[in-house]
Amino acid sequence: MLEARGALEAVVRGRLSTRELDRLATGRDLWPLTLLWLRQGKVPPPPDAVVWPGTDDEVASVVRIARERRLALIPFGAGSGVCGGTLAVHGGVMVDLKRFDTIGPVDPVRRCVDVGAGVMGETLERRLAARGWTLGHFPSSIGMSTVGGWLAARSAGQLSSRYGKIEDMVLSVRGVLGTGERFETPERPFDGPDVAQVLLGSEGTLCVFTGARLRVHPRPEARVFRAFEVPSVERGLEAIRRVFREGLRPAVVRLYDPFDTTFVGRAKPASPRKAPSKRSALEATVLPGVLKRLAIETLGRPGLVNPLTRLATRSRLIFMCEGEAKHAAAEDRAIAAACLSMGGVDLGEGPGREWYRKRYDVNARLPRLMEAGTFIDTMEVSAPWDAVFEVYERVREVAGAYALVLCHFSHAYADGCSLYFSFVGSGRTEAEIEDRYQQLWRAALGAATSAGANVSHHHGIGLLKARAYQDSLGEGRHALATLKRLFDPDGILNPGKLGL
Amino acid sequence: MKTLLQALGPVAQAVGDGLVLRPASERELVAVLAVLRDRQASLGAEVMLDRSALARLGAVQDRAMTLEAGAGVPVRVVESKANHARLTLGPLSPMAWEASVGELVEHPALAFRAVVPGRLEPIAAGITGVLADGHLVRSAVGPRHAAGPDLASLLVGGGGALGLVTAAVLRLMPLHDAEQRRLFSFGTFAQALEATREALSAGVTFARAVLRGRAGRTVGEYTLRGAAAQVDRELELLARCAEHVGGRFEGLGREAEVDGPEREASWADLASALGHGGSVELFRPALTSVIARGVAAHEFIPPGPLFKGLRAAFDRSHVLGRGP
Repeated sequence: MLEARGALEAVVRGRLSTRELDRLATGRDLWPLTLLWLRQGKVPPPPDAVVWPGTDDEVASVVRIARERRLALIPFGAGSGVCGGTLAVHGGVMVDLKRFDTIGPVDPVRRCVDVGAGVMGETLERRLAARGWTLGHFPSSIGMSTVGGWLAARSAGQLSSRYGKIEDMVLSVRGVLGTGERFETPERPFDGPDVAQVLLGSEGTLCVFTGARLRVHPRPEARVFRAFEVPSVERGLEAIRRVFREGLRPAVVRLYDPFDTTFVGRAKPASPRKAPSKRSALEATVLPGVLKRLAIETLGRPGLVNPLTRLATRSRLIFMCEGEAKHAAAEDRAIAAACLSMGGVDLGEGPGREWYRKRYDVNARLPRLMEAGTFIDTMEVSAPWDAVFEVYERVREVAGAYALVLCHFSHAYADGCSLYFSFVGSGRTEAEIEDRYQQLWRAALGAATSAGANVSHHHGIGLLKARAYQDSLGEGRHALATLKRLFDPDGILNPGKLGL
Repeated sequence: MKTLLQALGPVAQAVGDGLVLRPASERELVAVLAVLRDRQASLGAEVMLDRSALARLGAVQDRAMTLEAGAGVPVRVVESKANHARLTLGPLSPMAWEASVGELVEHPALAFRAVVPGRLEPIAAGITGVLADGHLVRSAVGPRHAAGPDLASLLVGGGGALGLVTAAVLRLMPLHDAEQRRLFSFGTFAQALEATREALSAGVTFARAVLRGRAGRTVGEYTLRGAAAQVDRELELLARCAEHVGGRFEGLGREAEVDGPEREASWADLASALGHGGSVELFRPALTSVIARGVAAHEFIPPGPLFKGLRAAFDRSHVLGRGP
């Protein structure tokens, strides 16, 4: 790395850092396993340096230098991933793309906008909203994720049932391959395969995305919310399936399983900081110990606790329709009819509005739970309607041996939906906690895929799911390896991710 | 040709001066491609591939609304089976109805259908296929994924240039009898196009639409198909979108058609055709592109330099002998 420093510094005009703070700030994401490491005082492997290129040519030059010196390059957006997709497992150089921060004018005729890969999601949506448009992409991480990250991981937003995932919004993408060549994919109509779809989801292993042309829509005139209590998960799933079968396209659909239903709407944002008092000092010193003990005795014994969660049966179902006001209201009425026919009890618009108000809130209890010696993680997969309930039951059954299991169903489509599991577990020692975490993932993902689910709906693969992903490809591994050889012949781009 | 015939075995049949190859399984197709690569031969006019023996037709999966079919099954046969379960492949273009499943799924334009709000979605929820290098690709069947690059995209819409589809799980939709047409007129063709785009963006799904000039105005005739309640909702929405750009309701319309070949076209292509006084008929209208009659033939649209690399990587010996 040291001998490449001068050359790299020259092409990025001095925007290179080897300071520890910069390396630690970019050499991480939000993978819960690494949060467990941090609790033990271990840090994820940092890169050797960070560069901030500002043009496609600069990225291409960085790639060429890296090829010559066989340096690993890891594209970096904002680090909101949860699968270890940006960890520098082989050292190398982090390519932070935040200087690709331009948002072009909206083309009102073609309904599209050119956006740099480093643009933060929330900034993009605010700028579009100010001009009367929306991308329709609202991931929970919108405040801490970039367009480039969305492209790299095939991101999904909370309104995906209507607007699709990011790959449905892309008209073309541009960037730099691992060969150092710049590219821009063509827009329809064209002959031959849609190469953009081959690159999206490659998590920095085939190319570095620098920008995209994305579809935009007029901002919706109205939003209509409605929630139901349904007698069971099966009934709730059937209600959703019928809604989509009838051609209805609500923007938001969320079905919480009975245990998750007990938490819906209970999350509170973190309270503002106060001056420390004697009581808070006591809380800070004594409470963590009490909580830790409690966590070990409850979450550390999921086999005892999970059966209790089965006592609850009723589930919460939330819909939101948006668009032209009368049309959204008409869709809402049709959805209500479908849900009532499945034994749903109409809870009105309140719970849906409450969810919408808090849709980006990270549960304030989570950091405290982590501090109390637990692990918390989420697993999202999708499956066809025939398999959804089976996946739910199988994952709950096997994961229940290692953690408390909650689930909600969202991102619904005509042919299936996503299942979003939350796992909370603990153990007597950090080693036991980490061991349990690893066993949980192997068991849960194995159960999901053997019951008919894919390995990821929108979090991606990274390091966490690399083995399961490679297994799921079967002979398709050859095709992936061919793509890797073609687009990154020296294997410098984000090595280790996707199992490459 | 004779030695090639012998090497290929019973899969091959001599017809005139050439050969017709009829593999009945992925394994046979893999073997065929291997022989062709060894002999430096390629598919084409002399060595033709006939996928009609890949004729497996699975059961309709009613809950997921899907049906698995071999590449050689005619689309009309799939539709017939789907109809028995009160499902349909949906409003396809006339060209799509004449295709086989393999041709449909590999076609750069026909492989996609329009869904709300004016976006495209592959008709295939999953595919099995053989790449030109002889390796299998089998994509997971599911609504959407974030599991790496979409390897199915090498084949879906790929024009058979990188590999060949052997079977596909096709997405179906409920079969409804309700169909209604509405006629609106606009001061300019630009307004007609804007109204159509706005309706798509708002959530209207047209089975087809015809736009043409009449008495100094542009007339749009829109056909909607689906559940009666859905069609009613979307008709109201369509009327509001048309009126929003100055359109005028002109009645229920009649079944107008435009002659000519179907092509995938951009909205600029449609504007050009209408601007020259032509008429266009739209199938699969989406904001990204449409399949249309009445638009001028494109010059060859190169798929870009990345495609050249893909072709060199997967079909080094040009065994497929086709594609862009």
